[in-house]
Amino acid sequence: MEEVKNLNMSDWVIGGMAIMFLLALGLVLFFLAYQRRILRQQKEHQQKEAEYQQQLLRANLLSQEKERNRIGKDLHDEVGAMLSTSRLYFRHLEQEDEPQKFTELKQKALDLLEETMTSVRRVSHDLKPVVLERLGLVEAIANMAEQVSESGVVKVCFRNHWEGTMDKEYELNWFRIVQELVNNTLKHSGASEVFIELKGDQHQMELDYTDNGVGLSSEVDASAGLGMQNISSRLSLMDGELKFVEAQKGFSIKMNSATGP
Amino acid sequence: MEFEALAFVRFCQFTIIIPTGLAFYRWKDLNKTQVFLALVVLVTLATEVTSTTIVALVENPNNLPLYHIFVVMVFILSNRLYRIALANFLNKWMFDLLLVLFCLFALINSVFIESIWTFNSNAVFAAGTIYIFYSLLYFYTLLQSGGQGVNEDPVFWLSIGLILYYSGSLSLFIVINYLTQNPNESVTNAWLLNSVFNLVLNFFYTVALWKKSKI
Repeated sequence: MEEVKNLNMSDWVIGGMAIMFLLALGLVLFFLAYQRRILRQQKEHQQKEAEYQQQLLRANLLSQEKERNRIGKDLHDEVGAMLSTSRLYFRHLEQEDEPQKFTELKQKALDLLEETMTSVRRVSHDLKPVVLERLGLVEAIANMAEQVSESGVVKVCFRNHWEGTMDKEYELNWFRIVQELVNNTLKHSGASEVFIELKGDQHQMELDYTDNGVGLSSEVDASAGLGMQNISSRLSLMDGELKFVEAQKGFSIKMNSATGP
Repeated sequence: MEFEALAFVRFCQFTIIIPTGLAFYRWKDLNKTQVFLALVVLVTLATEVTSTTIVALVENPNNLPLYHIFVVMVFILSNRLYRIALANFLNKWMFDLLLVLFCLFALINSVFIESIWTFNSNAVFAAGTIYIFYSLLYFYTLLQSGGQGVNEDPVFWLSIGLILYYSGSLSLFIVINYLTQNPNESVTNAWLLNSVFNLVLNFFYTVALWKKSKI
């Protein structure tokens, strides 16, 4: 009887040993499979990150080329043409004997030179906004809002609730971001109103941008455009983030970043 | 136990020679955790040799007191090993406290609870449970850190070996004193199965000592 009891217990023990071993083996195999899955996901994520960075870089380079082409075109079409015409007038001045005609030609040449200087100033201002350099980001955005509103096409309402200072490079990035958003609104949205708000403190700044235009068809389309890629690129340089806000009408975006590196 | 069964058990026990030989061969290249593992396999081999010698030379031999000492020595070395491996996850004083508590428990068990001439199943069960806990914790830390470079991590392979061996053998160790009082074929089968698990453990000892990790 004792032996039968012992036999049963031994069988139970062997059964227990085998089951526990197999359970442990199952756990180890599960761990290995899970670890491989994590590694695969990490690799995929890294690949996507690399592709995204490349995309941003490409957008950046395209944007630079586009800007250079625009500046080149402005200089050639406006400044170049006006200087050529001015030269023509000065050549005529040499040959002109009649005082009245001489004065007329001189005035026309001077007016053309004045227009040329204005164009050069405008091109130069586009390259490096003076207001930003001298008065800072808030004043530069306020100035841009005023200029756009004066055109009568779009009314830009700007509110500042941010109190802090910002690194110069970051200020330029933010200014270009706002410029890009305003340009997009003017070109594509058909909006009549734009609302820009700055919030934050010494360490962090948030910018909310909204217009009442046609909006974007999808968030994917928004992210894919060259302008938005440039904005993403500038924000990523500042370790910032952007978030598209769902709006019934128009376009709305929230962005934030630190105020310095 | 029948002769063939005993021969198989002895064979499985003495496969510890392989990781011991590897430990000597790679001694200069071993990292901190591998050094402790090398000492574990060395202590295991020394215990096997001594216990076999006692059985061969002594009439009515009982080499179980040796096993009482063996369990404590291996626990000390394993505790130090995992103290290094889990340093970023648990405070070092926790390992020191566990070491002191286990040694005290093993001493009390050997003196007052289970005689030194019987199998110290309580101490072995406690040690085995702690090894399984260490191993599972180590797997968890590997997952937390992303699991990169796991294949080259000696402690990873050691942990697999410990989980497999002690999960399989704990149920035997709990009732071993009861079973050895009435030995039969099933008890022999249980020891044979334990020997297979021992073989698996020695294999993972070998892999863990083979891996060239800078950790």
